[in-house]
Amino acid sequence: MVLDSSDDSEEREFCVNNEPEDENIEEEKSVASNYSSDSEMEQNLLLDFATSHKRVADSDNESISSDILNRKKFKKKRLGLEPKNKVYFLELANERLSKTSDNTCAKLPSMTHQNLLEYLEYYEQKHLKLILQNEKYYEKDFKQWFFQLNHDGLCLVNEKSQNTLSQLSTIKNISLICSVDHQNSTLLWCQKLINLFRFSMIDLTTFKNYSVETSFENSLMAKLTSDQAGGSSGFNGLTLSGCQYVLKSLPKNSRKIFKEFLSHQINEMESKNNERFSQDNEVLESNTKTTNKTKNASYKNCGMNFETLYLICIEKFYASSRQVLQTILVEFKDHNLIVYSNSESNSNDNMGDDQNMVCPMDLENLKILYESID
Amino acid sequence: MSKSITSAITVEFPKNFVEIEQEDFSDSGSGIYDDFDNITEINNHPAKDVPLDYEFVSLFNFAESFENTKKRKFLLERALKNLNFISTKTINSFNSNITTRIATFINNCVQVDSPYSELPTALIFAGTNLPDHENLCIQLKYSIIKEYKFKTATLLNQNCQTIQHAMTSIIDQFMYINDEDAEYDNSLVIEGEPQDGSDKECEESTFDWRSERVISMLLIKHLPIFKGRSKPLSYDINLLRTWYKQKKTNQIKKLVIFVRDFESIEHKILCHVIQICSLNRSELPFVFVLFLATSMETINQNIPKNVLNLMSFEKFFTKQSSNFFDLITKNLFISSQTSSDCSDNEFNLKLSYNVFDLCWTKFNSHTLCVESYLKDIKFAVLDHYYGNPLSVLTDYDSKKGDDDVIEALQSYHFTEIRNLPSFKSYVNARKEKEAKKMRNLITDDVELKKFIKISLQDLDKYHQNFDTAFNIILSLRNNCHLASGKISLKVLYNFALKQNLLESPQIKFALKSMRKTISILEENSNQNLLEETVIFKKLLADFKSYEDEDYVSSSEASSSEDEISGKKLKRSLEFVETEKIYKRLKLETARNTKKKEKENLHVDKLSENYFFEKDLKENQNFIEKINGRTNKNSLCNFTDKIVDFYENFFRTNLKWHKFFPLNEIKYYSKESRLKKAFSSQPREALRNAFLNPTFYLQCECCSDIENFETELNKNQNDMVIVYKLFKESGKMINLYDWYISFGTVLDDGKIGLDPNLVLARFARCITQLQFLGFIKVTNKKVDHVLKLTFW
Repeated sequence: MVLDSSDDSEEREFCVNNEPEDENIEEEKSVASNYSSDSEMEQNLLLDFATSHKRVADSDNESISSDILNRKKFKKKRLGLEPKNKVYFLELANERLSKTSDNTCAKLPSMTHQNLLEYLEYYEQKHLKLILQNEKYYEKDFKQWFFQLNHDGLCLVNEKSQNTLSQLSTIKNISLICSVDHQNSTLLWCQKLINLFRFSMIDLTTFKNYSVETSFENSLMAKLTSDQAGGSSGFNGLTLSGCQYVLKSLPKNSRKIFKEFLSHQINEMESKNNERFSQDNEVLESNTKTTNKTKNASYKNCGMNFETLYLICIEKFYASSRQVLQTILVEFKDHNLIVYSNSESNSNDNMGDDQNMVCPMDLENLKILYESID
Repeated sequence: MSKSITSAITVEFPKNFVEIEQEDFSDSGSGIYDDFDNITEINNHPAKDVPLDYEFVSLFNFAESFENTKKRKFLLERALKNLNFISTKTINSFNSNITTRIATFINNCVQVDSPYSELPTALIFAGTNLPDHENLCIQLKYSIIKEYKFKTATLLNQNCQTIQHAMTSIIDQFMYINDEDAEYDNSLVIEGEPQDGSDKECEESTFDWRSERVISMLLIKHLPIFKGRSKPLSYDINLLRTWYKQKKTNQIKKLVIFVRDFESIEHKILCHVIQICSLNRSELPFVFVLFLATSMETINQNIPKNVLNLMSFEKFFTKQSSNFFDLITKNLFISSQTSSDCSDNEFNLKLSYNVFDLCWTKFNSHTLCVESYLKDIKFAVLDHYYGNPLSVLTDYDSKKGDDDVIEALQSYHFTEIRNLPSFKSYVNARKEKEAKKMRNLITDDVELKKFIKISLQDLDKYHQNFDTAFNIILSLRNNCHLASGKISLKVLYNFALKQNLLESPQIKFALKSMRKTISILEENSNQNLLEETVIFKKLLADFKSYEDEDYVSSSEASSSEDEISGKKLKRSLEFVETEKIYKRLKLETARNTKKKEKENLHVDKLSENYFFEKDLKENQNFIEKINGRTNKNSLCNFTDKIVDFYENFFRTNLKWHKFFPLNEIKYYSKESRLKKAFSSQPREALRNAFLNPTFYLQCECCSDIENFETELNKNQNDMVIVYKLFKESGKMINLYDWYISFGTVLDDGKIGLDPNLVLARFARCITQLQFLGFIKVTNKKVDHVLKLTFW
């Protein structure tokens, strides 16, 4: 899908993190006013600001491609495929910013707080642990860091991340410059966090597109179109985080069953993917005009039936009877974790043995989900 | 470490809803922040020659002189330092009582070496204002270490993921941190107090505790438990035990573990920690201090009975944070600095009604946290000194004669002063009577300088006298009879900032209660008489100090005899009043000699009164001369006189600050800035952006659109169009209909648009709206999305 980049729209609200202000007043950050009544001057300043901001925005656009590249690497890393260069993706994103000075910016929408800490540790191996353990060290030889974050991005909206970041922001040598986008983002922080972060908010609407940020989301439109094409019963809005959340609340036994189920589906999808890939290659060799189909296998025509799953469960002592397994599966179905792909009638009573069960997700997400199950 | 200062320029749009900040990290040299330098280059102004190392932005389009910019920076630093000093001092004095009590408990708690002994635990009910707990904890730690040389460790939420983490953190803190370390955390230590340990000493001590750990490690290796192991584990309690045995010669009596933010801590882990400590209590004298934000319930709910049995609790309640708020307000804004001890630590900036009300509302209905109140004040200070060019005059000291500041003012400053509303109203009010003088003020800079000097002096004087008058009203309202509803300091101060206090019911009420009190004195039968007299004595003590100051200043300022005799009359009235009270007091004491307690009390009061008596005798002749007509029996007349006098006193000293010219220099009133910075509303910002995009984009294509809220135009931004269509729909939106109407708006019939492009643009907008939280996927209806906001 090609998007017209001339129509820009983006709304952002920036928070500037106020340093903990004790003795070091120099490190205060402030929003200040110019009381000058000269309106021409204001206009000039505004124009200058707009041009300079645009320049920054343009350079941002350049880096978007590299960001996407990084994202792939990031996903690979999360899947355990590329464990070597932990901070590679971050380095790429920050190449432009970290050339000259001690002050470094990190920016990536999918960044988690662990990545941030890894990043910090990479450069400050000696100090970071000491800093986090003991506040005593923060003034010694520690460089100054600025992080630009998509603070209410999906990866950072959880208690642990926010706690860690707030701890990080209390260190005097680290400042956070964050952007928040969601309209309810202020609900993210409790009083304790607000006090640790010491944010001061600035409305900085830029009308720039959220190209990178939204590319990580399951787009509503994309979901709709794929569902319509597949002809399944309505779209179920299944997201990775949602699945993980549901699975967390399920009993351990159910989780194990679901893990077995997933491993089967992943294997099946991978084998299909390979087959298709080899077929495509053959076709490509013979006929160059043939379009290269998607290499990511769809979950359609995959899955397993009840009987196979039951046998596996019996083998591994996960379920003692059909009825027990049925009850667990009903729960999965209620939470949309599985769908019955070949079902003619969707009623629970008729969950027949011949029906194919499948988790409606693409391969990459399935793998992440598989790894996240304890 | 490289120092970096943020500089910012804020530009306000006419409609006042957009604010753009630009930052300049002057030392950073990082590309993204170079923009500010570009601005200085673009504006070809003589002021661009200023040295590059300046850190504050030169105001008046960079025409402000370097000295003034530097001065503002210096003043800001001083103001923040003083604010910090005063707040720290207040915190220390506020918490000193409870800190001493807890420290004494920790010192005195006995641990019996028997199987049934319990871990002594202090439960501190510190209120829901969590951020304030930190100050209390630091202060407590400091006092414990300073007085008793105990060892302390703090268990925090982030250290409680596993029992290993928790134990390691505790053991490390006990073993690593020595006394110097604790004093290192001197955020709550008042400057000026002798601080131990220079850098060298610190290094030596660092070496000490490192080697100490090594030694204990070596010792531990030889213990039977560790035989065969190469290295003891960091969370092993035996590590602490060995260390303690070795340290015992230095007599560490207690090991205190602070548990801050009890509610959020992992209770299971905490229970394990308590159990481990309990097992080792015979060898290691642990004491627990738990900070609670809620009530006792939380302990009963979260800690099982078998663990509760291991502890013996002692409850401590801290004072309410609203009292703290009062105290801080009083010390910062009401107390006249000259009368207090710290004349060097002046904090001259005051908050105007809007700002104070905002802070108070935020405190009262949201946070109850003094830390956040201080944060607001700090922000106000920053903003004032950073953005207001007239802030160079805020700290003008009339007594020291800082005339250089006034001399250094530039023509821009004078223009700025002439534009101040208070100056304008001052000139307008006098333009007919004193036309020539007012004309001079507007045209002649030299005249204006004199005027500035006098006005600032007046303001200073006003603040000094306001303190006394305000305190008298407050104590009259709260202590005298008839005070049905007591009033807190902050409410009264809010009144004083909001409107002229003289016209408010507060003063009338105070005077009424005073009249009533004196009439009660007359009745001569009330047991509370003593209390009342004490109140009056307090008032008089306040008043006396004021009178002396005023007396001196007035004699210096004017030599008019009438005024001085007027003052003398007032003084004499005071003494008559005291005499009355004293005599009645004597009668009362004679009557009540039977009861021991009361007797003691009265004797105390009498001894206090001795000084008054002495004064009286000295002044007796003087009083009789001047006030010969005073009939001691006619108390009614006397009461009238007293009340009249107080009324006059209030009238002269409790004027509204807005009546003074140039009050804007000392009063910060940019409440909108505080609101935006600390209670911003992203939803409102988004809505504004969608409905008024031209204010942000300043594009020419939309200049012909008249009504932005309703009109749909294809030239508008896609998001704006989609949002307007979104606003028109109901609870559920049909995506197809939405898409069709979007297409209709875009397509004006002349040029056929590529339907794929329209779909792509629509899809992007929808995704972004979803990302911003305006719509949500729903299972209720096919092809529909759920609307999440309705305005």
